[in-house]
Amino acid sequence: MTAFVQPSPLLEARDLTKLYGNVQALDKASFTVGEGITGLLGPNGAGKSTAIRIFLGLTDATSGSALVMGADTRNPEARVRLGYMPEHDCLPPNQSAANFLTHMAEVSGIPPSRSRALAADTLRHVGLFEERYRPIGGYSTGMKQRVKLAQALVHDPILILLDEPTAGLDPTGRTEMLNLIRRIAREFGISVVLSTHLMQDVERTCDNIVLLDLGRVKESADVKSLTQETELVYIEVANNRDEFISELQSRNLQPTLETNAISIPDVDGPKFDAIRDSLVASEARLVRMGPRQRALIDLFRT
Amino acid sequence: MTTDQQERTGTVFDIGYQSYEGTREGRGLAWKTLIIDGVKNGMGIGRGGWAKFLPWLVLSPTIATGLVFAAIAAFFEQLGIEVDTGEGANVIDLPGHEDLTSVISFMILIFAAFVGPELVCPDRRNRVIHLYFVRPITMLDYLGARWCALFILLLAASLLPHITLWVGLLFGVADALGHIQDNWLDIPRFVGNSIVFAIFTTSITIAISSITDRRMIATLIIIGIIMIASIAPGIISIFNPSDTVTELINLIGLIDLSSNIVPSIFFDTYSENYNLNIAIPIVWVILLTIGSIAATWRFYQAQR
Repeated sequence: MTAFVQPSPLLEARDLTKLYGNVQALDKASFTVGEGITGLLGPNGAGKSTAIRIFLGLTDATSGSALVMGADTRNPEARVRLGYMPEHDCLPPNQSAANFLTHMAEVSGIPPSRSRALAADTLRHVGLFEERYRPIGGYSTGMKQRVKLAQALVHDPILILLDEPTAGLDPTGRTEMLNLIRRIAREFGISVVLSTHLMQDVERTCDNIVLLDLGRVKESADVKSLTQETELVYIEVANNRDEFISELQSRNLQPTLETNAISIPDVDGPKFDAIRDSLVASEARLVRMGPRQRALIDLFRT
Repeated sequence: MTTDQQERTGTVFDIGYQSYEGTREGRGLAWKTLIIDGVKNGMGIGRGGWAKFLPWLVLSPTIATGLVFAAIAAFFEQLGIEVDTGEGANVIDLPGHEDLTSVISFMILIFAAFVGPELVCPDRRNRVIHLYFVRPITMLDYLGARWCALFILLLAASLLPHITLWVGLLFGVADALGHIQDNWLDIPRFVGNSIVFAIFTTSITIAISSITDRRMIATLIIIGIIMIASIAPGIISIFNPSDTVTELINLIGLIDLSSNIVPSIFFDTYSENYNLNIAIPIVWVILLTIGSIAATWRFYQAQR
């Protein structure tokens, strides 16, 4: 009989704690990151960058352990199939993107005979093939972001860590970058950790989410389950709103008046009938009615 | 029937993302890559004209000095005057390898001041260093490879004038074989001196370059330290200290140390010129080297 072996997660944090003097950046954070796109979400100071720095082996945890594909982060071999795109500028302005990527591929262990071709391929995938021989210093912000992404991909990693990849981009550039990230995961088969404080980026892009707040893991689940529809129904009417609310109350429903709409909790079959009857009785004109989808922002409210 | 137009028509396929299935070499390749990159950066290879011009501007006088020394020897040989550049009987005592070391050491220190910061400062200024440290290499790999790159450049800068002089003398003297027999010991002497000089100059230059991420500021600091350290013994000598104290103070002067004191140990003239125990300058050079390497390590640990 063959025993089923559970594949180890790509990243694993166990009771990860990091102290900078008296400041606690991470407080016994435990989470795992598997395949697909995982959003590491949290406000500034939540501990996202510290967690990434620990996984990259740039700093040691005060206590707890961090594993990259089952290997200790202090072992350089753990970074052979790991890519990293930092938030800040990190590109040499005098070099061409092609030369820079070739150099980085070689530093990552790709033989010189293959590194130039890999660099050209990677630049093609991020949409910089035509500009690959121009000095990076002359690139736009969006192009520089793409070079930063390309250098994280050039050695064909299994997992890339992206730190605020949409920072400084205009709406079009942001959409393009998020599409590119999705493509990396779906078409290239490279898993992604997207560290950001922008919930929309996570909602639009990620499969899973690790929510950090004040160094603690507040939530760790797949995005769908966190944003699934709730049993709360929103109703917007064009007129007779007060009468409509009175009718609802008379039918033992508990309407709550919000900014533009009325919400009713725990709606099932008979209650939908009661809502219909209330609309008819109050002669209110229905504009919109539907189940409410939770937004990730609600996680911060709980 | 196919027309010419149809024959030329092709289809471009986007083969999509191709995973890399080949071999992945270890940290050895990273070292090699970083060393080659460092040597190229140092000499301005693959960069603009000014980046190439500056190192060669500083380096070319050292080679020219070797050529001049060889030309002088050849000139006297042409006149039929017996010359000696080694340990043989002096007829006309022309400058040899030890004298060449005295002349070129200062120039190579200046060369190090220009090239050394070029190897490490831009990586920190452009923050490329963060990308190196997330690759499968350690800080030791990075610093070791950059150190080796500068060492290679300084060793080459130090050896080239000597090789020029040695070859020049071979062509200049009538009895080349006799010259080799009489002066073969010069080779291990200038090679040994060049290695030691390159080791401690590399270590000091990298340590000082770690202080700042601006190349020109690092260059000015290095030149400033070389100058101040060389002027200080002269200022202290105003107070007429004893010979031993003077010799001890002279060890601070990097120019004197690299031009006279260390070469005199290799060329076996130390006891003729200095009273201080020979172990003291040797230990001092070792301490300078180890101290500089330790300081570099600390700077980088702090900035990580």
